[in-house]
Amino acid sequence: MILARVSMRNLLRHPWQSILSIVGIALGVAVVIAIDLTNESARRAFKLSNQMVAGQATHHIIGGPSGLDETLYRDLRVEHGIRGAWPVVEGRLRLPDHDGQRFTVIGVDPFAQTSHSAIHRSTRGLSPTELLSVHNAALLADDSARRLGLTIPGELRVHGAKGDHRLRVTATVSSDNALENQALRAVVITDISTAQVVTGNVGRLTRIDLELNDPATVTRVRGLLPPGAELAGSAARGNALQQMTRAFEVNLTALSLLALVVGMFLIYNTMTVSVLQRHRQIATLRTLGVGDRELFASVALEALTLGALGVVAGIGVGIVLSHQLLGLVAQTINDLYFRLDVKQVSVSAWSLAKGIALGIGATVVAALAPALEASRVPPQITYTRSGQESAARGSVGRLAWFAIVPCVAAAVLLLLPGGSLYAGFTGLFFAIFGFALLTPALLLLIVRLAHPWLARTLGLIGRMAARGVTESLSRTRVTIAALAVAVSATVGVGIMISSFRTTVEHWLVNYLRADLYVSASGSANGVDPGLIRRVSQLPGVKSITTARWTNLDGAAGRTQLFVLDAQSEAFENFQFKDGDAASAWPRFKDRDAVIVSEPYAYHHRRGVGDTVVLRTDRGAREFEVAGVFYDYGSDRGVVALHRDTYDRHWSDPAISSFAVYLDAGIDADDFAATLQDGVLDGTELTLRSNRQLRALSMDIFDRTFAITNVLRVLTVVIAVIGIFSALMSIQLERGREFAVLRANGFTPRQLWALVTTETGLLGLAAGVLALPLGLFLALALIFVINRRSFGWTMQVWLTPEHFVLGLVLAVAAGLLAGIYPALRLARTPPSFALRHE
Amino acid sequence: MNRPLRSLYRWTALTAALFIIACADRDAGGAQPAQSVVGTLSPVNTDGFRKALAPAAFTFPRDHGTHPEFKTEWWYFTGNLGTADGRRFGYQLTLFRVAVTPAPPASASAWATNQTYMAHFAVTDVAGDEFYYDERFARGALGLAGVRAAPFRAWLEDWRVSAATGAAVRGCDGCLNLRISAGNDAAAVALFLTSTKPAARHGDNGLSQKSATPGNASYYYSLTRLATEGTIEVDGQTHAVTGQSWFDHEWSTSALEDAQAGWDWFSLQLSGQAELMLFRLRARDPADADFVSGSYVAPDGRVSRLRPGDFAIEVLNSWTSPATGVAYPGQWRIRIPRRRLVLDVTPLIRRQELNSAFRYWEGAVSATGRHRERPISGAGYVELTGYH
Repeated sequence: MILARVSMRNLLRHPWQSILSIVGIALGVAVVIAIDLTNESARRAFKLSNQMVAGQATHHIIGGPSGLDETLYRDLRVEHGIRGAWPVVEGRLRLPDHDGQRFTVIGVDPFAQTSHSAIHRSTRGLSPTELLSVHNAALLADDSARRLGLTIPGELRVHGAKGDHRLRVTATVSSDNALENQALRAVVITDISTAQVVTGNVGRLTRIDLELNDPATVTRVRGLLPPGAELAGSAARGNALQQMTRAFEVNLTALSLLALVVGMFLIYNTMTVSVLQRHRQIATLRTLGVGDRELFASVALEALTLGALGVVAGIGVGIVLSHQLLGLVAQTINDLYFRLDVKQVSVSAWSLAKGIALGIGATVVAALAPALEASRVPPQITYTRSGQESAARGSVGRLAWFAIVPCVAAAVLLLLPGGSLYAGFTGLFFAIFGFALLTPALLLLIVRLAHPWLARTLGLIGRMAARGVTESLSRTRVTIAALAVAVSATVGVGIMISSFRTTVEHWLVNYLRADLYVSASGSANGVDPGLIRRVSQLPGVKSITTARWTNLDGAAGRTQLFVLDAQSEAFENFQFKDGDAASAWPRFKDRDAVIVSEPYAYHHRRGVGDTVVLRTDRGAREFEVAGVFYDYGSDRGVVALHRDTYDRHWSDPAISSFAVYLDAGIDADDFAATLQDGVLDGTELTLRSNRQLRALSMDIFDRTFAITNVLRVLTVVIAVIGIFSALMSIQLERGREFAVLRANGFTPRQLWALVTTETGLLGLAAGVLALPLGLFLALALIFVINRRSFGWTMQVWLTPEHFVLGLVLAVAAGLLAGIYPALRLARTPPSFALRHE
Repeated sequence: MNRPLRSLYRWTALTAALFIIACADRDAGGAQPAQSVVGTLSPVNTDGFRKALAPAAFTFPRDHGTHPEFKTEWWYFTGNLGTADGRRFGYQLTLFRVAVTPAPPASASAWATNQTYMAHFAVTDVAGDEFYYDERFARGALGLAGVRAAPFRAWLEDWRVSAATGAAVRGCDGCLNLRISAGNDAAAVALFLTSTKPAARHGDNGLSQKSATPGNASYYYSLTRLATEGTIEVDGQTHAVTGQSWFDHEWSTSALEDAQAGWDWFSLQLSGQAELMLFRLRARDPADADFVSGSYVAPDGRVSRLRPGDFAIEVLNSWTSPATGVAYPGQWRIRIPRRRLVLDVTPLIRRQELNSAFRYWEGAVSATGRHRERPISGAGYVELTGYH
């Protein structure tokens, strides 16, 4: 009891220190919770939108790029008596009267009853006969209707295939379940016939959902499928889709854990300093008969109090933060993976529990060493600072030796070929830990090296500052390590992003060689071939290449196809990692060979000469890989094939986009204006110049890394708080020492200079230490983490700015932390400080 | 002679059933809302549909097919069957068609249609004291459901009635040889049906009045005796059966009058090769007279119309369904004094209630009695609607 009071007193005696370490752990926990909530919300939104249509479907029949022939559904039901089958037509629509908002239209057959998916349940309020009897009858979520300002019944103009259609919104739906409402947000439900017409898929189904409960029926259905169709378990298919974002999620989680690790350093530092400060008090308690265990408990309790307060604050901040981050994460998922409408954070108890456990766990681990230290204080009053410091210096060598263990572990985890992404991140954390152990030794080295220089430039103060740093090693080493880790993280991630960015920029310059690009992205009907013919006849057009982007969905996941109607010169836009354009071209053009992007090759372990299996409209078929090309557009990878090859194996004449090459001397901007006004006006097509497309790509790139940058900044903020709190406590503690200096004739100005030089020196040391670690982190991110996550090769582009920025950041943090104590000490009359002793 | 209320009822049943399916999560164990036949009929809009106003000469096989200009139509198969060792079964397979609008929609999609279908299937296992029933819905598009006149085919998914190869009955007007195949996990039938008598036109040469109001009528004919053989599968056991089936085909565009509560309908195949069809539309107010009508089909196929006053139906007792709590008549005495015919009609088992989206009792019955002082027996089906 008395010990608890002593503990509380200690926490209250150093309120700033306590508050700052609470803030540190709170921010760390907040970042972890925010990222987890964000990931979790995205996952739930995905699951929900998946479930919304699938309902209790256990399987799906999926077809090729153009879906399934609708007669398959009829045959299943009529000829084969398969009852649990529901046809679905799905497509994207634009609402021209509502800022071009995009909605998903889902066409269902309300007569295929007894499906309990949200979509089917949502049709309550609308009789199936109404869906048939009212022309283009449609159903919207309550929220959507309100957002669009629709009165019910009302008319909704949508832009889909072959222009505009008017839907008659006859009813709205709402669910008691907030998440279900969210999933229905940008969805319009119609009869399957309406959906077929407005999406331009007459005669086709997007998929057939099935509820098959016995293996015999599954086998039977599989046997009934035409060659182009595949039966996939719905869980497996959902998982396969979700796998796409896993690497992205793991990366975010790892970054958030880094923030927590930095927060951990903070707790450790606070507790260590607190134990060191109280050596005398502890020794006194000892002589009064307080045992090891009680002392250990009292320090642990202090740490836990701070940790608990930090965790509580962290939960609140984390929830708030997650709302900010969700938009960024959703944006990236939409940019890179699949369409996901997630606007709401779902606060799950599990996420919070994980955050709490991590926060408390981190506190306990961080407080372990200081608590042990406290329990080992001998009962005699043998307190001397110098004694402590020499002990600390003595342990420097031991720690440095001990650093070998995590460093070796890191090397093994990072360098062992075929390691997983998790192993990569674990390796990274080991490396950081090892480096933290090395910090004191390196710090001593740096100060020793800086000593002569400081003595030369600053004279006595320089020498004293250098000595001050070495003398307070026991208190500073962890702080310096924390700052160094945070700064190195920002340096490393910065180098990685800019290397990546430069690589992508260079790649785009080579890749986007046509003058103009016209795409039908988001439009249901693609590009009209007649329009392309008209464009090709315009004067000044040298050649046109058309492209078709489509996905092959299967039980094993999604394969992105890039179908190219290229001439050999356009083919040379590809930059090959494996194989070369000259030898790949003839096979690509005439012999059913494909080329695959680097991430595809990496994920599927394919190289030139291997084959990939694709499900064509006439069944699964092997295609030879003629080359592996660099591509940074998709992290799951792309299989590119020639239009002729595609047409031989798939019946899907659609064209997604085309590229226009102009004759030499034709001004692209002038031509673009002519094209826009003369041909493209009134169509849904988007025209972009080479330059605009490049800029757009880079925008998407930057958006992708927006969240990474946010996390980076947060980690640095935590570190700065840490260094601020640690340095301040050290300086304030030296009140007596400084008073003696004052009494011996030091002017306040000199004292100020001494303190700031010392803290600046510490910051500089952290910065200098951070640079090699930052470089190491960058290399590990580029060559291990990115490769294992996405399979991309990128060139390392080292620019001085990241290093300079890191140094400046560290020194600034140090100086900043010195200002307040320096001012306060300078103001305090020496007699006051001395009397206080 | 017709079953006008029945047609209305069934039309309502279809639209209402579909509505209910859309509204209620039935598997979630939600209680079904009580049905009121008249109540659900009120919003019916029959504008633009043809009505049964005057007698029309039926032409076969054309008139076995659909009459999409009318709002409602059904093809109704019932039968009493037995195994060689005397185990008795009843079966019912009905296909209902309802047009939701008078004209088909203009759409490029093969799914677009104004025609909707509902099917009911039931098997009565007398020895097992079991009644199996099931219902299905589909649109009349894409080949999911429909009816074709020649060669005859009526189907909803894999429940189907199709023309069977076999000796056509020479000179038999409207006769059909059919194959029926329907079922679910619990019960199934696979039957061959052969017409033994020509189509019997009810009412005024097929125009079957359903109330005193002119125009409230349907077109209605029956194949009253189809020799039947095949198999019935219940409880995982397949039984070879033979017996007699009855086929009704009726189409109309009319609405039930507010004053009518429901109807009782009888089809009986008698031991002397004659058949009897009777219906009674029950007045809501006991003070009002029920609307009754019927046909007597002689062994040679000649049809005599039975008018009010020609026959009387007396309810002998009642039975309350334990599943729904609805009380239905449980036994009847039918008298046709002019023909000196008295029949007691008794359900083969009591529990033949279809607690489907639309609730009614339709079951296999046996009849015993006296005809011109000689014993007579028979088998048939009775339908009871509008009971609460």
